[in-house]
Amino acid sequence: MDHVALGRSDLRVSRVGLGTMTFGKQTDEAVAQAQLACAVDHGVNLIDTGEMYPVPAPDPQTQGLTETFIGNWLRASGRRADVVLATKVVGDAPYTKHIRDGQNSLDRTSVRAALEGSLRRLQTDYVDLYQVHWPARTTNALMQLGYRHDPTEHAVSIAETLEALSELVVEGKARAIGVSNETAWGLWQYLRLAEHSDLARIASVQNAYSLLNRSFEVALGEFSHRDGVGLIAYQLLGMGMLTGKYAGGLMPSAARLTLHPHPRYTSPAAVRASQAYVALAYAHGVDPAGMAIGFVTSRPFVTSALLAATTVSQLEHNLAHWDTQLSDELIGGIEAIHADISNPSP
Amino acid sequence: MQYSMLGRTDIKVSRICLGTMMFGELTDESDAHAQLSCAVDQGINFIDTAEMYPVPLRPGTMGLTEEIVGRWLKQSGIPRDQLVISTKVVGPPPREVIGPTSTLAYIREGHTHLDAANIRAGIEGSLKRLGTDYVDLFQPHWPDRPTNSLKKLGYIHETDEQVVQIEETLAVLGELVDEGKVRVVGVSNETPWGVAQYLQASDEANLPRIVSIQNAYNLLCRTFEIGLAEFAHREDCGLLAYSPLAMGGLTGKYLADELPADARLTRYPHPRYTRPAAVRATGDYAALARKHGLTLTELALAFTATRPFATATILGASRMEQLVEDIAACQVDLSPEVLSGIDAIHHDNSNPGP
Repeated sequence: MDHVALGRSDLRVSRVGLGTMTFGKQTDEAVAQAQLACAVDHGVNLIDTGEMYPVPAPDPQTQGLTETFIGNWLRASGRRADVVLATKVVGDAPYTKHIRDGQNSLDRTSVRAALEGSLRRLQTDYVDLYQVHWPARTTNALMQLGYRHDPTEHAVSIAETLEALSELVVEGKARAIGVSNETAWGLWQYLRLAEHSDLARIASVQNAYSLLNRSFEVALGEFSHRDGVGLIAYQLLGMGMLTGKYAGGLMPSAARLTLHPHPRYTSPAAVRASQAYVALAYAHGVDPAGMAIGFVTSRPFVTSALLAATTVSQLEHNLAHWDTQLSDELIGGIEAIHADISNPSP
Repeated sequence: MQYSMLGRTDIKVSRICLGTMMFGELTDESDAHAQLSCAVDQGINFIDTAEMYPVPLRPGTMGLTEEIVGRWLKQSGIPRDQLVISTKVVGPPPREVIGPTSTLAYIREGHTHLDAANIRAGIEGSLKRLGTDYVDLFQPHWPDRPTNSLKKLGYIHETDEQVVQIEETLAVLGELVDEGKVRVVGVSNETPWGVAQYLQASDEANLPRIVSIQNAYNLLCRTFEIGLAEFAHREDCGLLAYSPLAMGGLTGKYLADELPADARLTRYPHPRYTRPAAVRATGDYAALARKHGLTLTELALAFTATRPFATATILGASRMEQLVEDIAACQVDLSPEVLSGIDAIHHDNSNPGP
């Protein structure tokens, strides 16, 4: 497993990380522990979680359980120093009303309270990467290709959120900071503010990125290269659509999209594109999941790609394919499908 | 006619801007002058041109469009301050601009980085051809650096040692503003990163603030919404939408089996709007328009003209009757049903003509 610098921070992360958001729902604690051990044994050091997990949220009974599982494993395994631990603070949303009684504006108070809760559950006194799960303002980073402006909105400013994050860095509770589900304008605000003051500079942006959702390339790829902000890609398998397991309309009974259908990946265009990519992989004798993962990890703006799995065997399969090599011909086939059906799952 | 302000200035422009890039090629001088007068009669005060025009690009015709506009300015007798004239200076031509007809190497012997020498030569030439002391809006035609603003969805990083920094370009543009040769500056074919650099340079170095972003935008090419619409709203640098009809593709005239003989994409084929996904989307939008008793042209132009992040829509027509039809089409009301029908097609087949 290769390791690279995360943005311009001191952190070095594995080219793939472990996504954990099903720990505590679809994945029980024993399997979660086995996945964590498996990932670390394969050289993965980036473990990504969030205070909101597990999903689907909202569920007041299980919120925070994912971090608790990870905390239990860290204590039992003694591997804290070997991992780059990343978590996230939620913003305000209909599905976060159960967290801090809905006080989630990303102001100083909520950011600080969130990290303290995460540290308690994770049983550690610092996280390596602390990320804003999504912006305070309404924008088009999630499931919306186009931006719609709401002039009446008064969200907490990025300056206030960044000041709060910077304090936590100064106090040693977070080594580096990042954003998630961000847009070009938001990313620029964070960078501009850090240049103009002693505030912390974001190291990474964690956005959805896959064969089905390449909008990062349109607006953010250039920031990534020119400003040294690495992409931590999530949902690289399109919630399983790109593994081929849903091919031909088949819905396996234990699979995630069967249990929790998600409009991002079940629209006609997403299904059409998924089928085309899976067929392309088979035509080239490549594992479909391997092609989807290898495509993401070989993009030059991707620092690390998060692999999330329900079972240990899926995780092992995906880890084994993390650097699947794609021939020029296969890349050409991918680009042809992308030109025909671009970004069906924003 | 509706009007809006350019950026954070008090320069009032019509929401429809007259595009001129075919003046001197598909549109001869007398038709061009008739179009200009017709536009002004309908309340249009905003005229956009470029030193590089007309298209298709050829060494022998470069600058002809500005000369045609300049002669009309003089002959029409319209007071100069009643019009908002915008033009553009070329940058180092990216592969996507170099067409089958030209490399642009004939402009200043190919020395067209966005530095002081090129920009100054650009504005001096434009002022001379336009026969005026100043232009209202001056725009680098495309970025100096390699990027993905022209016909590319994805960004592929290339390092280029020769690139002129945006701050340097903006400083030169700022000098032209100080000298009174240019009132305000804007960008064209820019990306979110480039727009951010211009805004930041103006804040940090007390240079002029860009007022607009002139990019391609139409039903087949809505990439502006992904990364730039938020800048347009939050920073007040609105879209000047060019190609609102996708080079005529969104009139539906290319959906027939036989291409119309005189039309632009027949005479000068262009891959941006003729690939299968674009043709499919065009057919879907045409069907939607028919279902609601609209022409495809009306659907396409009214959609672009009513986008809240757009300051103006640039109309370029080869013939006068098209211009009249297009101005009227921009002012058609689209019902919520039509708008949701557009969203459904976009959701299914987004940006087939980036």
